Amino acid sequence: MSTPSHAHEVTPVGIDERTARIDHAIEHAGHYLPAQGPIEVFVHHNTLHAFQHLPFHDALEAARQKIGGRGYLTQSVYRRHYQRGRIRDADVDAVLADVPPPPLHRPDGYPDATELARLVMIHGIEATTQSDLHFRVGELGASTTFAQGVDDAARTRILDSTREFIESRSAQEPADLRALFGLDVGSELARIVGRNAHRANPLEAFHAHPEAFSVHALYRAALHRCEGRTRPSEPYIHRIRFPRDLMFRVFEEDTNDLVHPVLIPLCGAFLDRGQSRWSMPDREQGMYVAWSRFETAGKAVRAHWLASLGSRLRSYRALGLDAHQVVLKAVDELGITDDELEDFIAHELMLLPGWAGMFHRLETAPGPIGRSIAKARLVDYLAVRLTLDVLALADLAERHGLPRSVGQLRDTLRPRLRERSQRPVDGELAWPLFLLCQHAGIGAAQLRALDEEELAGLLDWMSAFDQRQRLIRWQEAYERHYAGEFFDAIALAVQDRREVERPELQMVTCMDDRCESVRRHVEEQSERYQTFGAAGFFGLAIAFQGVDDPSTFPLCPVVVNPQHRIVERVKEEHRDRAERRTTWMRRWGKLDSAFRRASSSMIWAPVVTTATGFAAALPLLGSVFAPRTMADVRKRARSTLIPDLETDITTEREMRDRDEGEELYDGFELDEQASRVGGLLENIGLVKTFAPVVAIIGHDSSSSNNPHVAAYSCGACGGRSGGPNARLFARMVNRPEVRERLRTRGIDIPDDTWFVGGVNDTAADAYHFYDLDAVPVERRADLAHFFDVLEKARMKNAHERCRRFFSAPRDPDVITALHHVEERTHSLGQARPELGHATNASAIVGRRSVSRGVFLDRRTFLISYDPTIDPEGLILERILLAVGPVGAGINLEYYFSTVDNEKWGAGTKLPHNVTGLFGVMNGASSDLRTGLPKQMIEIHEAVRLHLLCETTPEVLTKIVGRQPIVAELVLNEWLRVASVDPEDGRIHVFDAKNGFRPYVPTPRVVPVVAHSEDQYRGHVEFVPPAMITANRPVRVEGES
Amino acid sequence: MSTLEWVARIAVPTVVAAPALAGFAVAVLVARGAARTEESERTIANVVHVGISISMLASLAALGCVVANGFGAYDLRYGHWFQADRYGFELMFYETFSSAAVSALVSLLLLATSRFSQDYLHREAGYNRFFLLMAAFGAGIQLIVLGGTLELLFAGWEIVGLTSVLLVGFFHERAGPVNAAVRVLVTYRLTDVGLLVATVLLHLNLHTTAFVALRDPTLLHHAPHAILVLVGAGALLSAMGKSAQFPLGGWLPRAMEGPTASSAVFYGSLSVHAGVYLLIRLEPLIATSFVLRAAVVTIGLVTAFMAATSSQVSADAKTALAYATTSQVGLMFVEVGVGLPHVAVVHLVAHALLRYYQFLRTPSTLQDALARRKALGRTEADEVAAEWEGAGVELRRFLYRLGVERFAVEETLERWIGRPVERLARFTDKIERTLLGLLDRYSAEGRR
Repeated sequence: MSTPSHAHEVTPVGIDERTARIDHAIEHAGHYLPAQGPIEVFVHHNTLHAFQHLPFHDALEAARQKIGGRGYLTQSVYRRHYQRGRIRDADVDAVLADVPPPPLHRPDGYPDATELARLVMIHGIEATTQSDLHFRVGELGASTTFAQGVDDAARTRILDSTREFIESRSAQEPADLRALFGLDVGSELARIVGRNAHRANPLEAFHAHPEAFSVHALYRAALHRCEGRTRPSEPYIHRIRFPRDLMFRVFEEDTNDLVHPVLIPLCGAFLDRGQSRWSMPDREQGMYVAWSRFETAGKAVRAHWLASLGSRLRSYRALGLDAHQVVLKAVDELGITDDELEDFIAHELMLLPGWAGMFHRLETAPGPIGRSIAKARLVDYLAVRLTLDVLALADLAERHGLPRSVGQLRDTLRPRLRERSQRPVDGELAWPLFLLCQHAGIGAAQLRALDEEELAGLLDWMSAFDQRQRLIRWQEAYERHYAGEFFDAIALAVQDRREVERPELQMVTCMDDRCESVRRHVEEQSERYQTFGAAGFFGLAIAFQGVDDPSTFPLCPVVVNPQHRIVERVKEEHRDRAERRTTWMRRWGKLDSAFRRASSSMIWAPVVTTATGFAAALPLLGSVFAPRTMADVRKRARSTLIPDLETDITTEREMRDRDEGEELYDGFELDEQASRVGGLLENIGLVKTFAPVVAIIGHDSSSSNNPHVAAYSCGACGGRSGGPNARLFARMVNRPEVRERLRTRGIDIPDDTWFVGGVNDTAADAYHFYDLDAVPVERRADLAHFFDVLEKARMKNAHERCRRFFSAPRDPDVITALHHVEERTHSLGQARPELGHATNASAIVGRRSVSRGVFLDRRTFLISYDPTIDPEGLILERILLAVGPVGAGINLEYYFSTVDNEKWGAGTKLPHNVTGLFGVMNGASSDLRTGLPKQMIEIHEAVRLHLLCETTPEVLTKIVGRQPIVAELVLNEWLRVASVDPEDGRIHVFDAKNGFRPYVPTPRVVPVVAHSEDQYRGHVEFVPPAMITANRPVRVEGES
Repeated sequence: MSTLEWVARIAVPTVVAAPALAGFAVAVLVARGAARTEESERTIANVVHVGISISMLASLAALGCVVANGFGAYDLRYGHWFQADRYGFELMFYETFSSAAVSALVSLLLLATSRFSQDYLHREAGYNRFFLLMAAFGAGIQLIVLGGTLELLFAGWEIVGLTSVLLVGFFHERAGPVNAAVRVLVTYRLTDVGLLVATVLLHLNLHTTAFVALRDPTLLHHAPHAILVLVGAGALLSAMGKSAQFPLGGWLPRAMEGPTASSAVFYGSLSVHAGVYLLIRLEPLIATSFVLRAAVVTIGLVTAFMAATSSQVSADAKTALAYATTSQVGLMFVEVGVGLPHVAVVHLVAHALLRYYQFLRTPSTLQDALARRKALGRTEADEVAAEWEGAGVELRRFLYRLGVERFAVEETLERWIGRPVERLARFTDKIERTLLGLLDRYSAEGRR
């Protein structure tokens, strides 16, 4: 259906053009809105995707200006990291060498720009406000004692130079000298030195209190040298140009306080995907029409500011205005000119970015769960919003005695904006200069001796090396430290690497950083266990329909459109059970809906609540006090009523062509199967030696009471389980026909190798395997052995995970640890069922021998790739094309949600309120919260992804040249790329300015331990990479 | 005195005192400047767990006494807490079967909340504050339930009100929660006047506010009817405010700004039922007047209808549940009004349990809906759309508007009371300034 378009005949010339302008403005502004869709599907993506065409640091600045929000941690956080040793001097020095501070003509006896920059950064030297300055000087004695952190050498230099200065000037009039140093009556210094200080000889005063004297002299000198200098006030007034902002500035009253409580519930109700019982009438015609229809139905009492809403909407309707024209009308009413239109619309949409973003997303790219009946369009949202804005402005205007016609509002209000006065310079210039001189060991004499030009140069340099410049360098230093530890460990590992010969078992998991540890725990058990990592959909883009699912759902990266439908079916012999199961499920579903309905109905609720209320105490107490037991009881009850089934999935394409208009094929043809399987095996380099058992394991995550559950699941499967993909893969590769075809491709899978598909619950550390009845008898023993190995590994994995949960038992045994992680998934009050991708920081694309035996602390995506079978880098190109955007998307979403959790993230989970089955708000009426909640990122380190590829710089350069998507990420440094040479293991690190440069390992010693546990035991916080010697029969240098 | 009575004499004050002491201990720990660490979190939670557990054991013991006493009430007196001249205010508890049952319910839910919150609020900046407020709230609500006189109930009432407000504004670094808290505060303060007036009137006219005395028909019979109606009206006003009844329910959706745990315990289960409980306590008094009963029934019915309608159109989990809750609370008003206080108690306890559980599970709304969709084999979630869309479109639009706008109750109040009061205030303010100005000039001239 479409909106009525009968207005077109009477449209005056120009309206069409202006309508197009609105559409253009909306389209333009839409790029900057959050791109998150309904949270049923959670896809990690770069929060600042709209700025990805810019270099990283420029993009953060552009985003700050356009949207607001911080792009870095705060300086105090970086400094805390510096104090704790997370950022070291060497890191800061290295960054300042690579990214030099602005140039400075160095005055004699002053440190150079690099040293000054170092001082400014590590001591947090910053401008301050006038009142803070007064407080520091007046109450904290900042002008008479050395600032914290001034080192001894600097102190001595200042004291000595001050003394020399007084001695050399002793010929001068004592009174002048006294004045010079601030020994006048009642001054700070005079108070300290003594009552008669203002009459004393300055040299005596100095000897009485050398520190107070010297520091105060410096302070006076700084004030003196900055006297008469002004800084222009920030040009902020031209930015306040739209009526709402003007109103807010002048009267400190916000029209949003009136508009949002009306608008937000309306948006929620309109977009609702089935949460409320009564849906909004007419929502298939767009929000403006629906709203206008019900607002004009029947008589109404309205708030004072909305008194004329009814008549306004009726008259719009009589005129036959559609949403575009309503927007135009409001724009005209507000006196917005055509050339302001684009900015104005962007400004309006940014007032509630979450809601506007959801409209935009559902309008342009609704994603896998599709559109609902509601016709979501951003122009409708604007029409409603602007209609309300106009009324709210008129009301506020009236209340403040201004004319109600909002068109003149801007002219009336603008003159009332008071220009901020010129900012005083003491806090802005003299204070940082004073601090900098202290840390640099520059005394009053030297500062006074500086000639005017040099001083101006120094002050200019200080304002050029502003907050942004410092933050850029802090961030780089923060990342460099991690990169150093990471590359050092890898450099050590590749020095002496050995491939696994005749593996006993092989395991392929998702590349996910969370799988790093379980792979390590499997490998630590024997040198003949081998693991691989691949994107968790295993190269099978499918639309999957589980046995209980009412429809298919794509299990593949969101950018891919699946062409193959895979359906899970009940096995023939289970038909009866299946029927019973369906019956009970339907019954349960009906009962549940009926209960839900009744418990909110006026008539039925008393009966229902009285009847069930007392019974509710059981699940209530159970799930709060004994979540694991409760979950167990529930599961048992469920499996008695709703029996588990044995199922099959479609594999084979039924021999018929795709029907006209049908989007999906059923299953895969034999050749397709062989090519998919072969493709993946080649990608991961599993083409020569096969173990008797090869496990393919996708992953999923379970948790209760958690609206963000999809964000923990497999990102390569569109935020769902990768189990079906693994199952399908195993079934395909086990087929003799497929293996036959693979042999022609050079992949010879022996007949005694069996693949088994499974799924891993990353939260509970549980595993489930499919189609075990099909395992040949000869392989059963091998499989049982594999399960034993996995059982040990999952317990150790749970144990390792527990170290990062602050609320987990300290140093538990493995069983306690496993029970603890299981309990977390069932507990109603648990806001952190698992930590997701938090702490992710790096990715390795290469053979496992690059990283085998390195403790990477679950921070690294591991993608298997064999450069020896890919001299041209074609496979690598394919991998990077998928892994680059996915890895960067995950990493950057975590990055931005961490650096500014309120702006880019969703804030704390505690007040979150599920709305319309598509998002969460804080409480009953707030903007939709997008990004990651605080509980998901609180232990994350905001560092960009360090992508290390086992290849040569030349191959990487070629790939970047060929693939614009990869190039954008790499050249703009959204990803930090490095290469490790397949032959000699040398590492090259890339940056946009210098290209590839050889990595020089730092003199740091990489820890060498027997087992993972030895490295992490007793640590809650990050531990650096280490070499694990257990079952890595490789001589490691540095071992003692 | 029998053993049973001795047990009751000790148990009942313990129910109130234990959470209060726990709260005090938390306050001391916090005041001694312990920063929030993993260990301090555990200590604080344990202190509150212990306090509430003791309270629960005591409350179960008291319940046992009442049952063993053949469901007879205990009138427990501990002397006067304030005495002047010949008049005194008694410290007494009045434990009937219903108050014992409600008290047990309260301690059960408090215990669940404190366990739930230990995980839920883990690493939150306001962790200590939350537990402090939770313990204080526990003491307050138990005082409402068990207090034997209206002024003791009033004390508990105020503690509950204050802790509610502070928990609504829990995230005080954002403007939304603070504005919402102010809104709740204003409603509570205005309506609490009713309870205060009722207390004073009873003291002036009946010289007692003990609930046990109010059960004595002769006492009520001799009192002036008009006074009783006024007392009842005052109490009703307070009950309406606390239980978010028409037309004072506007604060309820705004109160959802706090953590889920406090939303559950306050607006799902305990605080919101306090109004009903007050009416149950005063039921003998209300029963004396047809006007009062009619008022209680009418308010309850109107609320039940409006809130149920609002609940149907609410697209967010907490608001929908909060309105569904007030709708039932409205029906409890009706039950009290028609003289069925015991029905109301049963309804209250069952309802509080159920809503509490539902509130705690609001974050699961999406998963529940997906599971339901699966079970029913539906692709679309709009399960009732068809049913509702059967109605005529004009009617639907009209009903929908009423629901979305919450029947414009707030708007009406704002237009016909809020604005006129504001205008009046501005007017009197102007007069005052003018007069002060005159006075200033006059006195200045005088000095000269």
